[in-house]
Amino acid sequence: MLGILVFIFSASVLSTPLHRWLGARAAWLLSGVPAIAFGYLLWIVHRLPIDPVERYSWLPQLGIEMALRLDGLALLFAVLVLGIGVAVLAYSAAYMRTSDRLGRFFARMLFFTGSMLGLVIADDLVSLYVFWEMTTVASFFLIGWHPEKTADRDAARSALLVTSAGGLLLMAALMAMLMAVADPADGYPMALRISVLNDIGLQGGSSYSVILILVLVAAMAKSAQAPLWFWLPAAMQAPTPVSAYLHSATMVKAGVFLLARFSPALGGTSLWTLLLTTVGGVTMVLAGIGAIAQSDLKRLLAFSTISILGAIIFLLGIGSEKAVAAAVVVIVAHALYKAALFLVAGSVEKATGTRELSELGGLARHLPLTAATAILAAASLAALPPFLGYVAKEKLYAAAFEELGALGLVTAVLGGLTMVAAALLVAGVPFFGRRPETSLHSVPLGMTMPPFVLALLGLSITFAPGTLLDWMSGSVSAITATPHAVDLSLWPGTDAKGLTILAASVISIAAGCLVYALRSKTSVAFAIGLGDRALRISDEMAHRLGHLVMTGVKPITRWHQNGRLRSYLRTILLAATAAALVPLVYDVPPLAGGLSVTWLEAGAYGLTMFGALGVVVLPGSLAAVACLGAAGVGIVLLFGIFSAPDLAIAQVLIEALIVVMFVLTFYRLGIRTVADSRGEKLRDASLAASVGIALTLLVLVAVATPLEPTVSRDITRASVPVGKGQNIVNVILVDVRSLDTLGEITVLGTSTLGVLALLLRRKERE
Amino acid sequence: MRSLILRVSTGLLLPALLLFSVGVLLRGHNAPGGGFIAGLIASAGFALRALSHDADRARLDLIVAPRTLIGLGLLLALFSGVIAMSTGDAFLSAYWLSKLPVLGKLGTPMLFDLGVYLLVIGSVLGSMLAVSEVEA
Repeated sequence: MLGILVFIFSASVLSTPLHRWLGARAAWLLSGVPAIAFGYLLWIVHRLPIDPVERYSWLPQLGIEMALRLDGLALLFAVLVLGIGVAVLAYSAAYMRTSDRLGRFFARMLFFTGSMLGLVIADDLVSLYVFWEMTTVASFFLIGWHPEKTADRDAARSALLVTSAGGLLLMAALMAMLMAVADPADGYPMALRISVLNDIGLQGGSSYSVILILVLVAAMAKSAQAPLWFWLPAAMQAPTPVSAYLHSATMVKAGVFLLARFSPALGGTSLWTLLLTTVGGVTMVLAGIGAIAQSDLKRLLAFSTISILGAIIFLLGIGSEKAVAAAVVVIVAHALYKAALFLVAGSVEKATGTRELSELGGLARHLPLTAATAILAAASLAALPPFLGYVAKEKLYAAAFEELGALGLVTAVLGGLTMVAAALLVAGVPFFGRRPETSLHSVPLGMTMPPFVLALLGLSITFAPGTLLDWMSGSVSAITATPHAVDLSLWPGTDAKGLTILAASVISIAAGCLVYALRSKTSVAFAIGLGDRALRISDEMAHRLGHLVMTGVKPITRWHQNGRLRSYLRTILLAATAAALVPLVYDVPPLAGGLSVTWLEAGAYGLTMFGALGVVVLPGSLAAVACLGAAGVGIVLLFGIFSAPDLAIAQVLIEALIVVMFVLTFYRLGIRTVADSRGEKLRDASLAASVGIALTLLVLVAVATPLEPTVSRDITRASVPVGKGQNIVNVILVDVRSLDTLGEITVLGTSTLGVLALLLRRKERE
Repeated sequence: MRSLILRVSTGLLLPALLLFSVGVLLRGHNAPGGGFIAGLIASAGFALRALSHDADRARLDLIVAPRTLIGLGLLLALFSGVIAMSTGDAFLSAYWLSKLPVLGKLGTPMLFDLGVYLLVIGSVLGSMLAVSEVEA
């Protein structure tokens, strides 16, 4: 399974070079990547049919290992991620055909695919968290696909803020779980696997409610539940394939996945049911109403996604076997029809150039396949028999009625009827009715075929589910920790309960049609407007909150990060001096005394001091730089005297290059020396003096402190036989302490990139 | 600076300094030298080219962009450490091949040093050339 992840991520890395090499055809090749991964996954399942697990110990000293597990839930989600991935990527190949950033788009999409797949097969807490955050990052880069547009940037940033905040809460939750399970004597079981955690269960612990709330809020942030939903409609700025893949079928399901994954460990209590059904139910109804109120096609679909996610959480909250089975069927059905509808919206936008419902109409003749797709998918959304969406809705009503009685059923029906109205809006308005007088572009088959396939699956699965049924059953078994077999029958039964469910379905469909037909009438519009108002209030609150944070942060940042190098340097030196001097004051250690100085050394010291004095005193910048070089030469002499040839050589070269750099910088960037006031000079002089005193004291203390002799003795002894070098300095640099050197060169490289970036900005501004 | 003497001499100095830097790089393990120093010497050679002609000339001589060198150097350094991991040892464990004809011995620390060498060249020249190209 790790191999599949490596394969997908490698494909992501290779996307851009492949695009440069093969052109637009590379996209078709890359669309096959999820398919190959899918095939490999099936082969694994075929070989080891019972929950294959792979474990990789990568930090054995702390007991941390990466565990990947393919249980029923993981398998179903993996199938969704990879299967819909193929369709979306094929669509993207046509959608992005003319873009010269096609390779980068596929790289980001494949990166997301790998991250999402990793999330669902992760069995240890570290991997779960890392992949969760990776999906957040991937989403950020995909929403901000057009960084030159302000709206896209804002949307990406707001999505990042919300989902990252959720991620932090998730991390807190995971740590709380570790602490809850830990035995104080043994320390924390860092290699805790989720499957083990689910066996143990956390419901009895004292921190249970805290953990539950943290996990729930993290899931709410990711799955855009009320009131953390405002980022998802804004994220509709992203290109259509991104909206179809991430923001309907997979990434937003990650929150739901999280709740399902931890169901055995956290579910089953009344708190679980109360919280989840409330959040889910409220979201389901409010977002449904919000969907009908939208005029933009993609925003409508976004709200309907939020509503369905609310329904899934509602069902997970109920928690009975039937409810979980309903949730699983809803997940599958929704992924299929929602991805299809989003891709249809993209095709419509490509043909007409607009997404506003008021400007669309009569496209059925121009886009027959797309119209058929829309009808099929919308029928599943509206829960019409015999589509999979109908089966899902039936199960939803049944579970709601069984466990929560009339209240549950009414809530579910309210949600259901809004979806019917939304379906009619999506399929009816753009494709039928009067066509506005605008020119139409053609839409390639690559864009019309994949959604059609997805929508068709929504119909055919009801009759010929095949192995998908086993996967859905396996998923339910994994969530509820008891074996279960899902059945996709269309008939709810002839007893009183079954007839109530049937009646509920009929009522919701009829009411939905009614709402659609009367949507422009004042009373209905008023009700819709109320729901819309609730959404806007929560949006407003969120924006105010964000604004408040920014206004609080701005003055502090302006004072501290004022752009003046001297002020930064003063802060750093002051802090360093304090850090050095304060401990000395508290615990006065012995200072070395009686140091002897030869005439040669004194000469070198003198040269250094002379140079330093010159820098301070001389008026011209060129002369000052030359004195800096002189000070450096003094240090070179010292290194030579104390037999450190490597250091001396390095210092000489660095001095020469620094002088060149300084001269270049001063003359090219036009830096002039500024005359300071008396007070400023005094302040800088005292700071310099205190730094000097602090360092002198440190050196005296260091010389007086007896060193641990074994380190230098062992390294010297090992230098030739083990290190294979007689230059012990180099042996230490590249062998004994190579990790430190690796860190140093990383810093060197990064700071150079920073210099390049700053100078590039300067060039762009001119 | 358009001095003819300078232009010709830096053209001769550059290959000499580059050879010298490679020599210093290779001898670093047994005598004063090593990746950092060698990188600085090589950078000095290219810097001389930049001073006697202009930054574009130095970039042409360098062939690859400085930031490519930074990335390449870091990659080599990391790769030298990963070699050990592929056989189960810890990251950055040293592996050596002895008794080779010209070089005598070859090992992962030398690959690491090569990475340091490239990165130092990339860093120093990256900053220097970028600053020298700024319009005054």
